[in-house]
Amino acid sequence: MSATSFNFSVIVIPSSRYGDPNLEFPTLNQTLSFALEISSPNDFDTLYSQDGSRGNTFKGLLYVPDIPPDSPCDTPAIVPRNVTRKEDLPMDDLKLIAYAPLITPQCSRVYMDSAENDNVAAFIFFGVPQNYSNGTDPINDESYQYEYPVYYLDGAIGQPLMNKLAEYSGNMSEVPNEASLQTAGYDLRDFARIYAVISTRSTNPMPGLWLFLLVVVAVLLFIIGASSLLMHLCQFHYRRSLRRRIANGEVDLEGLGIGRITVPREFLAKFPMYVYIAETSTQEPRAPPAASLPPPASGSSEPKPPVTETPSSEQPSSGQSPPPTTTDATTTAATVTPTRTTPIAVAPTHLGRGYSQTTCPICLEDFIHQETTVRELPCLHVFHPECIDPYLESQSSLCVLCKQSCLPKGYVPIRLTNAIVRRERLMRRVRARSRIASTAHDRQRDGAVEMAESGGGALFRWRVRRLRRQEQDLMGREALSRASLRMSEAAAFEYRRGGVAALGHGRSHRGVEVVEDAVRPRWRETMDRIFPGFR
Amino acid sequence: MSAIKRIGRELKEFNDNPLPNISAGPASEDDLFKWNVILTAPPGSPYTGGIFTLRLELPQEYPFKPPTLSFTTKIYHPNVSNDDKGSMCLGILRSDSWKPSCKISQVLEMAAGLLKEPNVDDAVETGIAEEYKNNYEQFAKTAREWTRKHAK
Repeated sequence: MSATSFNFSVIVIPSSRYGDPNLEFPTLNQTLSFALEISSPNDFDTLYSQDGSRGNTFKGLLYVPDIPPDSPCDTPAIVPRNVTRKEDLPMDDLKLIAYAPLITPQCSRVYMDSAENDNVAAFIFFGVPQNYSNGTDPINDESYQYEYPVYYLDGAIGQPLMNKLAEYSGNMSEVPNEASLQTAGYDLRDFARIYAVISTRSTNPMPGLWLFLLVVVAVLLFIIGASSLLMHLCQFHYRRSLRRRIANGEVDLEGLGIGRITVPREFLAKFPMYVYIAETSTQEPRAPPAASLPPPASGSSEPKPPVTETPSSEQPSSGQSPPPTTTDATTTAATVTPTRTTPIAVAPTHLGRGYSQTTCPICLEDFIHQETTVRELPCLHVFHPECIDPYLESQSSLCVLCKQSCLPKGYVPIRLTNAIVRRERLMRRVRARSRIASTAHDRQRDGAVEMAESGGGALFRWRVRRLRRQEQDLMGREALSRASLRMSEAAAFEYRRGGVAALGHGRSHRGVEVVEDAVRPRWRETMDRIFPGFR
Repeated sequence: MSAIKRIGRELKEFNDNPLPNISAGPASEDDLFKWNVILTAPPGSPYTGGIFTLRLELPQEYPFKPPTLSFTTKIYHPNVSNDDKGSMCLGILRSDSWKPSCKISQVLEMAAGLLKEPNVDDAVETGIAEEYKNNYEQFAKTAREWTRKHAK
């Protein structure tokens, strides 16, 4: 780890609390002592650095390691006699930073060997590179066997520091400005020593790279999270808007072809049920027959009495008009009505509204005048309750004759999923396109999709294809869920598959193909969950 | 069960008022849901003289779900799939346009009508439909050939 800055300051070690290495020592007032900060890279160098196991800063009391007194390396001109030595340090177990001049490699060795025996955090050499044969290298670049890192300080800074180290080696009565220090309240018996802090930074580029990667991953995660949130919000908005439009009756749910929509029993019970009155003839175009007959026992499930909106005074006139053989409804029905839904403008029907029906289209039984109880759907078609009720409850919400929905407007019978929302939006767009296109391609028969495809741009064509895919998806899933729901249903589906597959209708074909690949891979499910509406 | 009741009623009605060129009835007494149908091709079509057997299958949900109609006799026709199923494509038999008020007799009438006049816009065999539209002579020739080969 290379050094980034050196910091030298004078600290006060109280004489009374000698011996506790864990104390934080106060710094001597800097105006009265000295402080040195070296951060210019030209002034220092990192010679040998250890791994980062020792932390990012090296701290310790500055001292000059002992060398034998008769050593040729002992040069009082460079290292003053009264410099801070090991024995001048208040306690043994403090971290130390060794300080020595570059004289010769041999001398460096001597200093470093000496420091090795002390509790040294780092070694700082100083000198003038020009005066030194090895540049700044203290040990001739031999194999480095010491545990501490070695730094180099420029001689112009290093020599004055060495002199300072000589000044701060005794107690405070011997330091410069000692009189001012005494007036400042310092105890002159305390010791003042130079404390060194070497800040380093990691030379290993990897942590930086890791950090960068971490940041990139974090940014990616944030982007994913944000877009996911945005898409969820969008979908939520779409769902709410679709719900609102369904509530307003603007959306034909059955037209979307999603699943099976049925009529709940409580709605079914609200559809009026009354005794069938055969229409007599066209002689009373506007006279509604008043069905004031009490409901028969069979209609007991319907607590509501027969609908009687008409004044009872008109009752006799209509009651008399049918021939006495009222049991045969076919003969009394003057207007021979096809079972198909053909609204007859003049025909007054049961209770003065709706269509003229003489038979139940489901069981083909005739309604019997004043005897049969019929159920009237909101579209005014009538059926035997026992015929239509199970159908509406279990098969469909549409009138079997006119395919009009029997559900009240605004009722949302299903859970609105994102798939349904997507489908509805695309259907709406396809329809809008086809409306535009149909004016141009009038003779082109059938198929809003085809028309839109010929009229639309590439993007739109792609979207339409996507819609188809989603449609398959929906159909497939629906089929699957149904198949797993009931065995009989599954059998019926198989049957349909067999029967219809060969019919060659695009739609049926697609429905069949889908069954095979309706099970979507897990990753797509997950993808859909994270990014709804993105396919 | 309402389906059986309804089918029984339709069968009775059909027997009371038989349709020309069409005879039909359940394949067996026990199973009212499978009918065998024999169509005698009406004159004025390439199929004239042919006798075609069909199978009419009614779903358990009848009349809420449409029946399916398939030719057991091979026929060269735009609306009949040219495979071992011989499925017939009728607009009213599609589940979204099927109405319970539609009777079996009407379905059979419609099928007989298709023999006389194929519906090329709603074809299942598009190749045959193209031929019918563009090269009627060729179509009629093949249809007559098939009729002679399979339907006599």
